[in-house]
Amino acid sequence: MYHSWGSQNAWLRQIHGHNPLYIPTAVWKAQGFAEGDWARVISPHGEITVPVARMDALNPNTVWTWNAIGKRKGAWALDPEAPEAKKGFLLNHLIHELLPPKGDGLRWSNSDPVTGQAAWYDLRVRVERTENPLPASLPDTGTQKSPVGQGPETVRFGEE
Amino acid sequence: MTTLPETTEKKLGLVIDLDTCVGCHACVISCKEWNTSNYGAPLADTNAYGADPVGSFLNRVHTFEVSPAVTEADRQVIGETPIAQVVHFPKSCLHCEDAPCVTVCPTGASYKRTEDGIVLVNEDDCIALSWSTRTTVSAVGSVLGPALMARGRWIRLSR
Repeated sequence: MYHSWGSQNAWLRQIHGHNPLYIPTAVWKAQGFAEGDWARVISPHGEITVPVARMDALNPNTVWTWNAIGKRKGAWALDPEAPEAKKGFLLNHLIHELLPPKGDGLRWSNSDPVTGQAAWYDLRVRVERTENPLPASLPDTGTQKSPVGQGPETVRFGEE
Repeated sequence: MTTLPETTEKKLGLVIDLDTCVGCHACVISCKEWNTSNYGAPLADTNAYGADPVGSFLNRVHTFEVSPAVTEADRQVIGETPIAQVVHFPKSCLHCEDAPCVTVCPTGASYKRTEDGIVLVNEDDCIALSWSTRTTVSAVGSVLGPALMARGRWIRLSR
């Protein structure tokens, strides 16, 4: 499911309506994480607070998530209480759009030179377990008003 | 309860290579699209854009990871890093030869077709007891469960 419009699809959002940050076992144990826990993830640029899940099949110092599920509350005409807004999140807050100044008077885009996608693969972060789970992931950027109203409560695709 | 045919002219089944499946769910969406738009009642979705959306799907893929026990010899090579493997497990009808979902059905709605052996549901006769789904889950679990569990510690990664 890439990109964000996938979360507003009535079928896809049932299959994948929220995303945890997958934590390697070594970090999971060192921090004393348990199922259902949340963590602050801090980079040189910003900070997010998100639900976490243990994963053994990872490099011991790498974390990852699906970066297309999280939504601002009310975005894509979803209910503000939608799992995408409460238990989904984006990594975008952790990186800057521009690379540090190179001294050539220009600011270069912080993106992969081949694909143009913003690249998180070399971002160093610190992970800290929170005392308690949060009601919704942070940062909270407020509720967006839908310009198109709300979708129907029940959909029956294919009905003649 | 519904009886199975004594013999079928063919024995069609469904085989999925778990080493190749990447858990993309394209088969799930394609199956729902085919079955919601062809005959009978649509596969509806309730609270479709709300806080807790639920809908009818005919199959799903669940993702697990398995971490085998690490031996002392392994540990000398890899240290404490676990050797873990992600397994995507599509749960679709396999059209079992002795389909347990048919024999629990009290109305004859679940049946095995004598021409080719595939398992079907006549929705006009179905009264939605869900016994068929439950027996399928326990039948698949009783066959696959011990074999899978023997491979190590399993955790579920997907919803």
